Amino acid sequence: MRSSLIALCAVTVAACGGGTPAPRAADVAALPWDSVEALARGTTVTWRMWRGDPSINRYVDDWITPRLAACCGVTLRTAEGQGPDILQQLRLETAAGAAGTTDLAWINGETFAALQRDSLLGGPWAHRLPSAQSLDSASAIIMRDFERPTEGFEMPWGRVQFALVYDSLRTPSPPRSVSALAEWIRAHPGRFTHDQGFTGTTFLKVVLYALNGGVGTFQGGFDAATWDRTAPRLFTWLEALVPSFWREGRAYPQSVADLDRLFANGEVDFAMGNNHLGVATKVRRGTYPASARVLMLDDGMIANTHYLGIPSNATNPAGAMVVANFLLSPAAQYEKQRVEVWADGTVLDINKLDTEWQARFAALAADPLGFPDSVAARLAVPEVAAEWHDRVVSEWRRRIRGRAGE
Amino acid sequence: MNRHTGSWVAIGLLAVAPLVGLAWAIWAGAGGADGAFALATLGERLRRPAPWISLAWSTIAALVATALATMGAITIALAFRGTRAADRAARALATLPLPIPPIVVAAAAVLVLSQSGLLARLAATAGWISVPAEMPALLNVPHGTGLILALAWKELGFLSLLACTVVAGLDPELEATARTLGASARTARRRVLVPMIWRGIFPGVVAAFAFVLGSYELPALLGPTHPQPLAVAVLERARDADLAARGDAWAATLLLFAAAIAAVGWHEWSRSRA
Repeated sequence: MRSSLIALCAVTVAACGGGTPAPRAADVAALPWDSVEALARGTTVTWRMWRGDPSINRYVDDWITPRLAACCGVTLRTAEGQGPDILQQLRLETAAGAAGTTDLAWINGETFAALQRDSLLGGPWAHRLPSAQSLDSASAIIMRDFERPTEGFEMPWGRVQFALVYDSLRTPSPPRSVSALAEWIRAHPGRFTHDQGFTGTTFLKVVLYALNGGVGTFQGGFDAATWDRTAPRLFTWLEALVPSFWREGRAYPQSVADLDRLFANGEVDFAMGNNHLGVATKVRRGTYPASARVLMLDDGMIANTHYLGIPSNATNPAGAMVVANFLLSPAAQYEKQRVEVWADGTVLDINKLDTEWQARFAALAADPLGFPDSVAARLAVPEVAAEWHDRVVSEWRRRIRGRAGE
Repeated sequence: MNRHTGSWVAIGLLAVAPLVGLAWAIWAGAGGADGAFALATLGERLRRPAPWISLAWSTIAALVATALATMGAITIALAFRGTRAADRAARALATLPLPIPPIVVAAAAVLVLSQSGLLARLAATAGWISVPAEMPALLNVPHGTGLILALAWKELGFLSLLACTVVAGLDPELEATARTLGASARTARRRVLVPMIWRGIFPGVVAAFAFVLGSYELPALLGPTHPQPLAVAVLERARDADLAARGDAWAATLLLFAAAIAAVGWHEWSRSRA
């Protein structure tokens, strides 16, 4: 109680003083929740996020924003920005000693690691949100971001799992393991490829894990000796198969959207995506044929979580916490997971919710175009330190894509 | 302020944007944005072969596309210079690509030229190939055929507009005089009209070349994976999660800048000889 009072005084002085710095997220987090809500009411929160998907934009603009204004008196303003852009901006603002232009940021993985390294995130705060009581806090995939413990500096927001996509009419018996996939690629030259972006790299990491004894080999941070021992297996596997890839491996789709087009036009027999729940959405939208289905390899498919962070120079951490709390509520998480909306998996432990919400989430899992939750959970493997990802990208560009040094 | 001073102020204002951009690119390319400015870093980045290969590929693609578009524009301007409805319709159709966004041009190119596209399906229907997938690949290939065609089509709108305007302003007596002096219709066109149109559209040709050289959307969607078109390589590094790669992007933009300066220099040199 006493610490809360001290924090309230500090936060109030900071909030009212014209020239004084904005309250810190950690100080706000120490307040009773109704005080945080009171501080947030009537304020505007600037949320920097990727704005590249109309479905996500609609969810945020048409569903979240009006409800947030109605329930909490917070005006939500979104701004474009992701990963390196957010990092660069916060570095510049902090170096200049300028007030922050971001109250809440959508981040994960390497961005979180870099922001933490440079002390650009405020907190800890996430554990103080009332909605955080329902988090699936037993899940390492949710509570560790690319192996780095979140420690209250970011709040889990959504969870996805990598999956291949196949057409059940064209490929009635798809390969179920990395080794079977290699045989399939050899037997069907020109019918498989991956994109050059994040999704394609995730596929390469799935193969890297599978060829080197599983994810455990790569856990515990990046290790150069382990890389030198394991990477050749991946690139030897690739170099042997690349002549059987689409265009003999001389061209790769720029993005996963380009790969989707090749799959939909019948130029290749597999697509892939970082969100297995999104396959049903793409079928309903007509991006994929009606016979498209999720394929998960028995070797394990990478699952990862995306998060919300509050920059250390945020001017409205109270508002940001209220927004984050609302985004973590069962209603907002349910809406987000609906395949008609975004199909982004929940980070809540369904068993911690009341029976009404349990029933509603269970109904979502019964989608006939979906993939059994229990199987997806069994095959889920976590992300490892971001340096592994960076190494796969640079080595793939050097050895596979580029014939000249890059 | 006298006229002489005013000119220098105007030149200074015009030079601000490119000079600030150039200074920033040098600073960031030399590691300044990472807090470790050293010209040796810039030199090391510029010694790597990848950006030069990308520049060479992009320059050749832009030159070929611009040459095709220029020839097309001059041909259209000469062939449809009359006042008949068909001439007007042809001129309007030639300028059609001008307002179409590059992303739409790319989507249309995919629809028509991909191995599952309309051309492939037509060829399969006609029996020239057994299945559409047998169609030779035109997109995302090192020879860049599909990309060059799409760039040329996009440029055609701008250059044919210029060429038609130049032709409309030509004195009809010039061709008639050449004919009177014994030149055939073909010779009169080739020796009299084409050089005059070329002179009129040359600044536009240089502008179109510089524009396509630095364009991103069409090369990103239709260009080869390797070599990477320079604009695609620049943006890939600028968006890299590894912030150090941004310095590579800025160093590569210096090459684009140099190529644009070379194009403008070529234009000025040609004008000085005219």
